[in-house]
Amino acid sequence: MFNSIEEVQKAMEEEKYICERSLATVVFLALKLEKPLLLEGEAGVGKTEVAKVMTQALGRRLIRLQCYEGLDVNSALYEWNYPKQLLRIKMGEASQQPLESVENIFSTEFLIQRPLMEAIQCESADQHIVLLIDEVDRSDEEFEAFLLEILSDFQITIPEIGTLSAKHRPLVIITSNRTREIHDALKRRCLYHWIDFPPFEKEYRIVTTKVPTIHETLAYQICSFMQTVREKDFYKKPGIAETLDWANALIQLHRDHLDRVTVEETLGCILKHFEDMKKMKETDLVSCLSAPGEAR
Amino acid sequence: MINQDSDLLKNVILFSQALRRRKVGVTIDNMLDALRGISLIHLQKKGDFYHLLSSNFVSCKEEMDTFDELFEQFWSLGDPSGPATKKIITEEINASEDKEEDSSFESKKDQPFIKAWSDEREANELEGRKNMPFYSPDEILQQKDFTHFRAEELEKVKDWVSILSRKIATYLSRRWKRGGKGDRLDFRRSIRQSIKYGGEIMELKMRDRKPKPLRLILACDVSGSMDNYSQFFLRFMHGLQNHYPHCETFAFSTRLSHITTLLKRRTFDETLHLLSGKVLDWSGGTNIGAALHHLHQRHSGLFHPNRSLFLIYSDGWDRGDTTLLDSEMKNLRRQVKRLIWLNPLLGNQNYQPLCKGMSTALPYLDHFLPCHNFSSLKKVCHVIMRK
Repeated sequence: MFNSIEEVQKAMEEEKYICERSLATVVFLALKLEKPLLLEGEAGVGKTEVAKVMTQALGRRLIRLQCYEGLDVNSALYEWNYPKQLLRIKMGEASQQPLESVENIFSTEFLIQRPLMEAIQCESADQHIVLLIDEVDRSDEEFEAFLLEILSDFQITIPEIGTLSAKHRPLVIITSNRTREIHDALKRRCLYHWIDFPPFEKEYRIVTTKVPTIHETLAYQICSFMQTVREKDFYKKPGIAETLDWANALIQLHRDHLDRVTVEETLGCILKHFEDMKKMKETDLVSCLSAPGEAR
Repeated sequence: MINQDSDLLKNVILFSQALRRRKVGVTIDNMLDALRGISLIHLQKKGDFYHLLSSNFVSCKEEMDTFDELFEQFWSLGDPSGPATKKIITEEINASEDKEEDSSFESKKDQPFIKAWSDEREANELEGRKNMPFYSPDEILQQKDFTHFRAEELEKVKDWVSILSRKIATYLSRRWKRGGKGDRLDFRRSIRQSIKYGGEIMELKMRDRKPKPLRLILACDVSGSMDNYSQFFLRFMHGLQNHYPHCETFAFSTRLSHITTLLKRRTFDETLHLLSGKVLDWSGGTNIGAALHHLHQRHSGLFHPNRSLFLIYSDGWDRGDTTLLDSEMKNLRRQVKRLIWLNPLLGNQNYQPLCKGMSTALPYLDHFLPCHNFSSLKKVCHVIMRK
């Protein structure tokens, strides 16, 4: 466990996640205060990555719940194991004790644990959990209500059994792309942090850390180009995920600098909309690329 | 520890109260967590202290600006008990004393229409007591254009609009789930049922998929040319927003503002006060294309080709670029199930949608309907409810 913000920041950097002190502070507080952490930001700025990195840094196990429209209790919390219940009933019949066995079929033995329950039910102290609830804004509003009990008290109430509480509170990280507003009741139970697009220096560090084989000039050009692209009015501004994809793609193509042809050929790595591609060609952003000699 | 520094504790509490007065909803839990956090960080580092408070007190990006501003004022000079803080504390105390008068928002003077609406209501309340209402058959009132109401009729129609919005919300929220006739086996209920037969499954319980709710996205034009009409539609939006969960609301003129959170859980008058401060360029010009462009960029996740209904209330007088409007409408057409445009001018029989904004948008619409009086608004509701 960490004792200071610096330790968190250092541990994250060791896992190749470059972050500001502000993010390290909220992660540190989430661990110490045992509160869930709600991360919001544009797509591809590394929200989900925080959970993965913290899993590594803490040596814990990651349980991930990907939210989608229509996600319900049965796929997120628990489900009864019906075949097993039926078999138990039949076994009870064969052994001439039907009633008693039937009464027992609603016990934890017959539960199938889904991600949220698995996170709550972990038994041993050496098997701590990081729970990632990804893209919570995609789920229905009703689903947020299920989360409330879990996030505030780390417990689940099952009508047939009763309340199951967590023995060890997991580190909970919730991400949202903010396509719709999350309910206040849920937000108030979390620590909140907004992750922005990185400034040039940070992005440069991320690229050189994540793609160590990259040529310095290329990294410099990619980052400055991405900064320019984000200033423009595109439908979907590319995030750091796109920058890294692009950098890797260029390495696969054995390029050591950016030029017009290269950018046009690999534009699909950073822009994913036809309108954006068209706009890019119209605005001729490529012309503002600094020549390799001028870089640095 | 915390109790060694009771001044700091007191100031954090005062700070959270000041935030609450600026409509940042800080709960007692948030405050207790922040106080617990103080013992975990080094107080010499102002940045860490800032992040401690912001992560606990702020819960969306919009609240960040309010927080930053107050944080700077409150904790400036590095000394929490310094003169700057004292001043704010006294201000806060004064403010809480004459809270009622304080609700005169600074920006109100820039928003003459909103102020007029609020004043109008107060005036009407007084007048309503003096003059007993004349005999006015409701049917006639329902046909009357929103702009032609006498003061005493206005209140009545405003109430109707609220009731109508609640009715349609109830209708849309209703879910159907036929018991026993669906196409999927309901194991849970079947097994529960079997207990009474000693574990023998005698009847199979079936279940049906719940119909997915319709997502409503409403955008109201609040530019100058719409001033007389937008207050009715905002009231309609307010009612829907508060009674139908799958609804998102926007107001636009040259720019777009997401007003869902402003409309939720507040009375309409509170909402009007808030809107005056938050909605940019109220009663200004119109640029529908730019507003829709912003909507796509920021909120594209709201749209669903099979389940969302987009409703825009505007007269179509557009000062913006029609090529942008055209491409945005084309985009919108692809992304929503139904596209409805309500135009108050369509109530006039001689009106023809010739202005360039309206004629650009027209080919993409599923419905182009008048919405200038209560009876036309009712018809609009029937169209929305047609699934």
